[in-house]
Amino acid sequence: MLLGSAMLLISITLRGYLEVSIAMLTRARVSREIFGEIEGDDIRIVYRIENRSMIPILFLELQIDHSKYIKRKSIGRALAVVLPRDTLIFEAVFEGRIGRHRIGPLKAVLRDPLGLYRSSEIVLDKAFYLEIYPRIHRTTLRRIYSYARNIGYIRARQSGEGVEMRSVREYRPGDDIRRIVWKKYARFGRLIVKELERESSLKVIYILLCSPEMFKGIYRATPYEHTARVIGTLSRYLAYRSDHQAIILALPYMVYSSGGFRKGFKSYIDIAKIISSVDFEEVLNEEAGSGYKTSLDIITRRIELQISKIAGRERSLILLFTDPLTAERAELTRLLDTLRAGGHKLLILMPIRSLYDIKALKSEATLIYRIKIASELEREKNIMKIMRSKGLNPIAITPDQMIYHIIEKIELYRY
Amino acid sequence: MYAKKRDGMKHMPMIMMGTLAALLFIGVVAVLEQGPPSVRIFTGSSPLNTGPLGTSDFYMKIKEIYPRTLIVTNWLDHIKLSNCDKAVLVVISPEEVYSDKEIYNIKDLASKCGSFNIFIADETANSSALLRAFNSSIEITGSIILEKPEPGDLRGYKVSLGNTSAVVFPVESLIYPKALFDLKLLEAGGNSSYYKSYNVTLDIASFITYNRESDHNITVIGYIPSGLIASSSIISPEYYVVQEYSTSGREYYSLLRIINSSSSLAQYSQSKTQFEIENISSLPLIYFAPVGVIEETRGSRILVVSDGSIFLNQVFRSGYRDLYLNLSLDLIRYLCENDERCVILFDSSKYLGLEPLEAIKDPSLVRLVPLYQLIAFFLARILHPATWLPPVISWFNNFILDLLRTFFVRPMLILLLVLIFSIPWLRREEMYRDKPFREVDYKDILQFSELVERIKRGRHRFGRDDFIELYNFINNLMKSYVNMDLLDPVLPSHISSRFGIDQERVRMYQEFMNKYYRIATRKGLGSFLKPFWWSRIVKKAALESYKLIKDMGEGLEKKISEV
Repeated sequence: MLLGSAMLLISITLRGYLEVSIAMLTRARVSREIFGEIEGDDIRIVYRIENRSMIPILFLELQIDHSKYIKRKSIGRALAVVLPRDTLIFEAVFEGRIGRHRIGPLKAVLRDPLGLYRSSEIVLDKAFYLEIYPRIHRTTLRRIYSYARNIGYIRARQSGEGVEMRSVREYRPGDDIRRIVWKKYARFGRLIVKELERESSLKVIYILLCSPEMFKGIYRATPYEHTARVIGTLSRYLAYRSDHQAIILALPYMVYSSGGFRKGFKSYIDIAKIISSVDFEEVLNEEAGSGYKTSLDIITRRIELQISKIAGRERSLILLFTDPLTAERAELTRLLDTLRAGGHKLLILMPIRSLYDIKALKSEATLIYRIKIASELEREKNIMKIMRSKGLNPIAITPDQMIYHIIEKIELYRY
Repeated sequence: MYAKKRDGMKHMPMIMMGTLAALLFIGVVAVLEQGPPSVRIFTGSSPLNTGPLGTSDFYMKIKEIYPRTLIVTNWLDHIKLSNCDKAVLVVISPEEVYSDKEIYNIKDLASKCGSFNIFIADETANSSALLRAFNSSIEITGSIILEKPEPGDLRGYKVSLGNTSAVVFPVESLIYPKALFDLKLLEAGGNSSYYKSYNVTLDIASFITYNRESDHNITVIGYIPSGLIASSSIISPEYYVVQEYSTSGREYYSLLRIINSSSSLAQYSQSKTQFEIENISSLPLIYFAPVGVIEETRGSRILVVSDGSIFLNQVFRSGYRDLYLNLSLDLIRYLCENDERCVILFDSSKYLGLEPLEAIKDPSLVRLVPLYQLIAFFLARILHPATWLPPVISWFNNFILDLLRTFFVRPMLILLLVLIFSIPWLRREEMYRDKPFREVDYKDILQFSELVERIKRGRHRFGRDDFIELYNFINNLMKSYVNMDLLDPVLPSHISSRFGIDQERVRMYQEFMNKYYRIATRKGLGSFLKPFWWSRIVKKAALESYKLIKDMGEGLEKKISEV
């Protein structure tokens, strides 16, 4: 009888303690801080769980849930004790990857000291989204700057509006009288005006048309991430050169747009934000994958609409990034024809997706992979050949693609 | 009621079930302490009695006309009335006498009202104290007025009393005298068209006396034209009124009683049985016996009717309803001076109430109380925890004690109690499988994941085409970096000098590659002589090619660093 009563008493006490602990945990103040926002960096999520009561919270099991497309470097679970009026700090470290990633919810389970009772899962902090921006390779950028012929205003070597003097000529009706060179008039008795060199700045629209295939590959080395990095570096470079930029990001489930041309550093920030708004969980779910094939027509039409909104009647340089499999689709051909008909200059950049998996292998296996993937590689090359035959002149982007080739091409369009 | 919610968070009620149970327990104890509801059933002429002997119908009718009609159940507490300009106290056949304290409170209330009139309908002397308190000279004597039988009345029996014969009447047949209430007298001059005269039959009416010398204005509004005065104790089957005539022809009445017999005198007249008769007394004959008197004292009108039975429900529910009701309302109207704002205090304090259980025990009482009222009161009493909880607890206590005294039952009982107390704790929680948290693991989703996996595990098989592909790749590489193809005989020396790689090794590699390339690209009959172990050859070629390329790269790197 004594034993039975003691067991009952212990059971009730433990149960009561667990209930109180749950109540204290639900009333605890939970806050979080995020450190880091650039890919490749360690993104630290620091949770602070403040026990504001005088009752210790023992045997607290924590776990942070997150998208399965972001790599966690730290341990995602913890067993902790939160003393009265104390704060528990729980830190989760992720390897930054371009995109929008779900982090959380932060879940907890409580147990009594003897492990007889266990609470249900308690959500301490809701899930939130982490946006990670592409890393700009500073060294590459510096090399690009030195590679570029000029920095700042670009002379077009054509007469027009500008600040630099090109030559002098006779006055024609309509010329600004402020440009008359009075010394020449005094000398020759004719009205002579200054002719200025036209300033040149590009209007560039990046179109990133992503199929779900572009999100497959090694961590941080998928075609999408590589392309995003290229676009990030390009936009930083062009922003530095005061060119006008805009971006359209077409995903299987959504088309994002910067809405209009922007200039300067802000244009780079806008582009970086839009390019980082890709949620891998949404892109890589099965519905998006199957829906992409059927919805490409709608997507291309939305791209057309966005371009007309951004550029209006102005002619601009359009850099279209897409994979070869999308490039061979009739919908894309129609889009390209429309854009060319609109007078836009097109530069098509295609990540060769079959080469991106090679980084998953080492030593001679890479050669073996190349052998086995040869037919696929050939197929992609043929797609590019067909496009060249149509006068589109595509550029293949490989995982090791140096950005200089693209800059070269862009600079050619400037003159 | 609930604490702050978060998604997926456990809901914690702010008021715990334990607290609710404790409050409930306190409530039950308080109800027990209060005791059972004091429900009492009235069988007399109380306005709370809806039975035939009650006055509830009279009360309801008055209430319809005078909305400020109240039932007073207790005079011991002071009654507060607002705007008491006119008030009438109605007392009908009280069953108890008024105490001094009660009379004091009534008088206190009367002093606070503009006019305070009293209506007493009583055949007993229970209301005498009240009359005295208001300085009334009217007194209800308690003696009853019997109806004077007329000559030749069929209710009488002719009997021989000694030498003479006489007509006798059972007393019980004479207790319903007819009275005349002439309310026209209430108006000055007695010529009102508003008030009427009523001929009513009374039921055991008392004889009223009053001081004719009093300076109060006294008006007799109701009287019995002729009757016999007798004690109220004679209302019994054994008493008879004897009607005799003197020689001068004057009628006179006396009372006799049959002794030691349960038979009636009617049986005697038929069977000629001998009865022992006691001649008690003579009965005085009175004319114009007052049964309704109004006395106007200082500030009060006191109306006394010496029979309360004409205001009972049974009368109002009979065929004579209109007659009695009009009389009753006329009397009240007179006392209220025809003012609807008049406060009427219907006394219900002086009636003997019965417990529902007592009423059920007596079958004669059951008839006097409506059955639904009796059942409702009985249920209210039975359902109250004070009725059943103490006996139940006592029984349970004794039962447990008996069980505890039994050796085998005691441990079983304790175990059972432990189980019972455990159930709420176990029920409160859903059962969860105790599983650890599963961490989310990242896994690369590759373009050609199957192929990569097969290559990693070395399970991929190669063919002739694969070798040709490898050869072409290396050939293109050589063309790009050293501007020579694999067939060029100068290639080994060139690579050796440029990248610092052993010339012999390069030559062997070149021979190996070219040899199998020739085999792979052989046409005609020679194509049948192809080896079947291409897998091994391709793997070897790939390994050697990789090593060569790697060494070339390292050699180039070394030369650059030297520069």
